[in-house]
Amino acid sequence: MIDRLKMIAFVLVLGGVLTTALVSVDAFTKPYIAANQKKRLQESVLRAAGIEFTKSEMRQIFSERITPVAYPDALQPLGVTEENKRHFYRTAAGEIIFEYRGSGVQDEIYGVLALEPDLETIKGVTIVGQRETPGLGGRIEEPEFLDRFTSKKVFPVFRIRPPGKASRANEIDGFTGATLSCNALEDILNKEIQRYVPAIKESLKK
Amino acid sequence: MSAKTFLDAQDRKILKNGYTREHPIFVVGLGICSALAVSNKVENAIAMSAGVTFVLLATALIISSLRSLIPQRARIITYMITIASFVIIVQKFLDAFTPAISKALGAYVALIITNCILMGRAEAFYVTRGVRHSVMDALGNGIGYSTTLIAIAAVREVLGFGTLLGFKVTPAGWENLVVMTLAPGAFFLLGTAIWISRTISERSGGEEGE
Repeated sequence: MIDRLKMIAFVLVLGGVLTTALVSVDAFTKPYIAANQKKRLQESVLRAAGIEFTKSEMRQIFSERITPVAYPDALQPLGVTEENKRHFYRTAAGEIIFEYRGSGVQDEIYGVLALEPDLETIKGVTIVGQRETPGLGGRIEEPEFLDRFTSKKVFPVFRIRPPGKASRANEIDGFTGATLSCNALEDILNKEIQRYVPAIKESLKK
Repeated sequence: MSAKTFLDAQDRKILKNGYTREHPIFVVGLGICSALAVSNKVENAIAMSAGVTFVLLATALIISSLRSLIPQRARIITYMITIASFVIIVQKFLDAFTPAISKALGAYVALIITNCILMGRAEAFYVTRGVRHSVMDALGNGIGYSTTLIAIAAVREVLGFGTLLGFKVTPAGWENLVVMTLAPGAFFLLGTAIWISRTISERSGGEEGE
C-alpha cells in the first residue's frame, strides 16, 4: 500500500514539475512564434502577389504595397475584437490576396492565394504550411509546381489533372507521386474560393 | 590537457561503446525508423541528430539522478513523460528561434518521442547507472546515431536530389534517383551499411560477441 502511494506521489510530482517547465517554455516562446508566423504570412502575401522584396525590407514593402481589408461580419469569429478581425489583402492595382486552409493528406495545408482584379484568374499561390509526405506530396510546395497556377482560371472550378492531361484554362498538371496531395489542394482551393470570393466582392462594393 | 584528464578509463570505454560495439543503429538495432525517415536531406539529418542527442542527454541526466526514487512499476511512464517533455521543449525552441529548420523537419521533431534509442537506453542503462556514466553513454549513442544519420543522408541527398546541404553538386543532365528520396532507398542503403559494418566487426576479432 505504501509502495503504491509512493508510486502515485512520484508520478504526480514529476508530472507537476515537467508540466510547469512546459508551461513556462510555452509562455516564453509564444511571442517569438507568433512573430515568426506573422512574418511568414506577410512574405507569402508578397510572393503570391509577385512583389519583389528583400528580407530586410520586407516589413516596409508590405506596409507600402498591401492594404488589409476586413472580411464582412458573417465571416468573422464570434465576439472578435477590432484588432483581431480576419482580413484579406489588396494591392494598389486591385489584386486580391487571401489566406486559405484545409485538410491535406497528413495534416493541414495552408497558404495564400492571389487573384487578379477580375477575381477569376490566379495571380500566384504560395504554401505557408504543410506536412505532406516528404519527397512525395511534400513537393507541392516546390516553386516549379506552384508556378503552374499563374494565369489559370478558378471559375467555374479549378482542376489539378494527372500529369500531361491539363488542357483547359482552368486546369494545371499535377505530378506523379502526389496524386492525393494534389487532389486535397484542389479541393481546398475550390472550397476556399467559394467561401471567400463572394464575401470579398461584397466588402469591395462598400 | 586531453580528454584523459577529465575522463577515466571506464568513462572513455562507455563513450566509445556508444558508437562502436553498442552502436544504436548498426548493432543494437534501435532508432532505425527515424534513420529511414529523416535521412533524405543532410540539413534535416543534422537538425534531427542534434535534437535526439539533446533529448538523450537530458533524459540520461534526469533518469540517472532520479534512479533511486523511480518506483519499479512506474519506470516506463517516467521515461515517457520525461522524454516527451524535452521533445516539446526542443520543438518550441526550434519554432521560436529557427523557424526555417522547424519547417523543414515538420512532424519529425515530435517523432523524437518515439525514437526507440531513448526508451531503450533509459531502460537498459540510465535507470541502473550513475549520472556520469549515463551522460557518457548518451553522448556516445548520440555520436553513433548522428554520424550514421548524416552519412546516409549525404548519400541519399546527392543521389536523390542532386544536392548536398541544398547546393547543387551533380553535373548538368544528372537524372535524380527518385528511389533514394523514398523509404525503399533508405532501406537499401541502411541494410548495406549494416552488412558492411557487421562484416568488418566480425573480421576484426569478433570479441564483442554480437
